[in-house]
Amino acid sequence: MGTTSDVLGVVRRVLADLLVVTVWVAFLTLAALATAWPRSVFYALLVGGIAAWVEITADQKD
Amino acid sequence: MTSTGSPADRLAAVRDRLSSRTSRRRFLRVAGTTGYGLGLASLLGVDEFLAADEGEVPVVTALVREDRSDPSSLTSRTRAVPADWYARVSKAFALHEQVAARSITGLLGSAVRPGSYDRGTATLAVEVRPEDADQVGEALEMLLAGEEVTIESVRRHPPEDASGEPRLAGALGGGPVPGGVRCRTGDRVATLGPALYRDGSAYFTTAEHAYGEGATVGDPLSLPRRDAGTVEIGRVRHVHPAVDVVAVSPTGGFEPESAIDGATPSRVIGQLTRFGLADLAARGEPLEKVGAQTGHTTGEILGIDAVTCVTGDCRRGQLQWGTETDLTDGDSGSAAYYPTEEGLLIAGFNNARTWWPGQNHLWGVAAYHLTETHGYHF
Repeated sequence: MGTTSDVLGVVRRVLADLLVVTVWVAFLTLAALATAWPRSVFYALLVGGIAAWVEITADQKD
Repeated sequence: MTSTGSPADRLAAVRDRLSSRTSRRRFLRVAGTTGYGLGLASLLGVDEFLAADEGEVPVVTALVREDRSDPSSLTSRTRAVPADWYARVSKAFALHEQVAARSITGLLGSAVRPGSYDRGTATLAVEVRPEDADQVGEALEMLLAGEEVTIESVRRHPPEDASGEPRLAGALGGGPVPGGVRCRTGDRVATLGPALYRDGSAYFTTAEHAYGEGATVGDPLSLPRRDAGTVEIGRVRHVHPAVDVVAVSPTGGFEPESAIDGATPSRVIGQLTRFGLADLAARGEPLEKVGAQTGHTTGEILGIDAVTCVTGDCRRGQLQWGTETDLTDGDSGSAAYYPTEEGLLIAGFNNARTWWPGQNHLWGVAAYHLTETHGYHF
């Protein structure tokens, strides 16, 4: 693998992460608006969701 | 509230324990995306509508200017407080309204005293003349049935005279004038308050009683200056004797400034709500003031939503705090404030003090009451 494709891979991954997190936060915000979640539930789901996303999309070599 | 770094840190620590193959890269990815997610959530303002954790309720504690240069850009600031404390204080406010609505003979004044968060309490404090104590006690017992009430007997004593060097404004020729300096109302003196706003207009302000027999529209407000004589800065536009406030339209190129000279920081960014005051009382956070005569003083909040009938007419929405030595003739019209890192939050005006044994505080109309009844804000 060349350096260019490595860099492209990282950029693609960062952009994908940002997109997924944006959608996740928007979804949680709408859900919290509809259900009046406590603060702790909102932040637990926010952080937990991000951790789960990183976990399932991580390469084995990571 | 929630610290942005710690969840990711904790998560990383757990992961380290679970897997020896955990890489720095994966940690950075979690930390980076979590930081982005939390930043996005805060940008969306989720804290504004998220319910507080179990046992807590969010209350609006202050109205703060979003845009510091735009007085009308007021936004509410909330804080999560213990639910049992909130329930007790709300009930005390409601009961106190009932007491205030009936004119009980012999009652000189009353106030709500929020307790600390640990105790989750609030008490009603009422002031009576010694000869009326039994009668008022019976009336309150019928009305409040078992609620915690403190009854204090008070006697009238004449006030003493002021002395000392006053705080004067600098040699201003025009432009912005901050509060906290001496102003002149005809043949009397008072303290200039910070800028007061209503319907897009900015006003100078001070105590109405500083005009003696009563202010009338068009009365001048002057500013004694250090080494530069006294100059007129405005004319009375609105008179509000019930809250002891005058709104003065600026003249002669002067303009009211949202600041208090001698306070740190000096810029005013908004005002405290009724529950904002209760929150400060519960946490034992002191208020401050800069009076033209007594200068800078600090004191505890003693009573909120107080009704005071000792001056003849009953005054509502009063704030009681500090001690009677914190205020003297010439300090009326000064503002009580709570300093934050961003700027000052105004609690209310300081217009009078106790001059009778058994009690020791100063009082004046609270900012929230002035907003509710007359539409002004700081």
